[in-house]
Amino acid sequence: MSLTINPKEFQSIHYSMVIINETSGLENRDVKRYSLQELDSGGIKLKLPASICQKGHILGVIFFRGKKVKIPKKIPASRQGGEIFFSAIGKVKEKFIDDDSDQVIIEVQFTQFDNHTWNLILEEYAEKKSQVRDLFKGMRLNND
Amino acid sequence: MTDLSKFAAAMKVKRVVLCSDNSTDKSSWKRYFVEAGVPVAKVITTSSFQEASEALDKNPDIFMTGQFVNNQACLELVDKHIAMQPDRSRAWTFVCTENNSLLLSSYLAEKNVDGIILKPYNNQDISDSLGPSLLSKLEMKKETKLYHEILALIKTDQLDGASEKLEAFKKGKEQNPYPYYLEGLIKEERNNIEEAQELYFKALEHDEKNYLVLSRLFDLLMANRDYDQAYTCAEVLCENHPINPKRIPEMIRASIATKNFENLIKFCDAILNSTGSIAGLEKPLAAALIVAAKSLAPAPKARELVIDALRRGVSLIEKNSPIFISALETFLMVDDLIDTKNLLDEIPSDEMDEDLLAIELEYTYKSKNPGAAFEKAQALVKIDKANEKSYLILLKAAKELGKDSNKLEDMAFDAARIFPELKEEFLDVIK
Repeated sequence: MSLTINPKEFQSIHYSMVIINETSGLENRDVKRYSLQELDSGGIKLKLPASICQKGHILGVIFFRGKKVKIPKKIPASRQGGEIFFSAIGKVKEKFIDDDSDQVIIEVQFTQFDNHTWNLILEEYAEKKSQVRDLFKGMRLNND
Repeated sequence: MTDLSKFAAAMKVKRVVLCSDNSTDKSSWKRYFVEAGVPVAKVITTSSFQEASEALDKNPDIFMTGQFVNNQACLELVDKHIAMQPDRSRAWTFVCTENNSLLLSSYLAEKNVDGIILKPYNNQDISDSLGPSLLSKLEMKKETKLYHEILALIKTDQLDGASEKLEAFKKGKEQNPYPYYLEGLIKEERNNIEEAQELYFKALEHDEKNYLVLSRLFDLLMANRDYDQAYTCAEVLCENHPINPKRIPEMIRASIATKNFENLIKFCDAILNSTGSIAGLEKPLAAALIVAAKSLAPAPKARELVIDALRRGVSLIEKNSPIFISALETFLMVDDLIDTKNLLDEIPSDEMDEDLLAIELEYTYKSKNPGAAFEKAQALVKIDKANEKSYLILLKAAKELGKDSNKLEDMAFDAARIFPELKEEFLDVIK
């Protein structure tokens, strides 16, 4: 036997995003300023700078896998290929002010997206959450 | 949905402090607790560490923080809450984080954090993460409560009280690892290290993969420098549980002490090949790879493995550390002149100290001819930058160039004046 480790244990799921505001035509790739707040079967909640969009705007949301991914200078019109893992078009359904920062939380309802890939992302997060819950359960006393 | 009504009924007097830099987090968590009928005492922004710390002074039963857990301030708050509520049957500490690696989870679970909410999350995730932990303590069996009480007494150094309660806990649990584990902890606190170890080994007889016992035993064995047993313990830990990253440097030390060099390189490779964060582990990993490579270098069959490990190791460290010098020496040991040259070229000339100049001299000796090495070594002697290795190469090159024996002896005695302890070695070279 030897010190074997599972490299997956070190991995943290992370997606970097580019947002294209289809209504204003502006592309925003300041990926460090976005954070995913919630995911559901047909949309997301995102925290981002207030200036990026308004309620009712149509957004293109493009997901790249990993924190250090190289985002291409030009996003292809097809929104597919290369490092792009998932892309969707959606409408900003709600915009909330975040009291503790200069950012806002937006709720985007997807209107066009690849359901299969989106489900893979949801499942990946769900599996990780389940692994973490199991880990905590495993460290509790057996008869808890 | 978790049975919140049950929780609410039992939690009338509980107080909650929530601490985050994100208003959405705080309102989601607050909603969850309010729906459970738990009075939320305070909602704090993370910009105010002081305020959060003061809120913890009031001893809330539930504390939840959502800063980046890599943030030291966040961990200090978690530690403070756990220290103030040592009896974990009556308090909860939760963390919300974007870092979803199992290593972090393992690290926090071992700290006695009760649960993690991974971001992104929704209301169901809050319920799934918090609910079972909240309810499990409400429905906790008497003996589990007793286990936590004993642990709290040990943590607060009330060892007589802990021993007394342990007697009650032991009843009917001959096949259970936890009485042995608790007794081991008490013995450790009383500084009876040998007995503590024996008890941990007994605990493992009843559950050979128990994380708590294995990790405690590993730490104890390492502290006692019992590397062989510690390594065996680490093997079982790694095989069956995610590693607490804080324990990786000690696992590396155990591997080096037990000369498990090939396995150590594989272990480091697996960590480096993962795409997750290795922040803070760069130096121990580099040192492990380079030490392992140096130890394997004399075996010609291992040359490729050695070179690969060295390349990985040097990529993790700065170019002026002692371990970097060791890497260069090992590259030369296995005659990898190309890597040696490339690395030497990266070092600005004003940063070349005596050790690096000696390596550059040895590179010249191996890559060119004795004449070039002799000239270079003489130049180093002139500017007072020759260390003992440079003198050895100077003498070796001089001998190979056929200098006469008187001249060689003069040179050896000159070297011995500076490094008298190496006189015999210098004379041996010119024989």
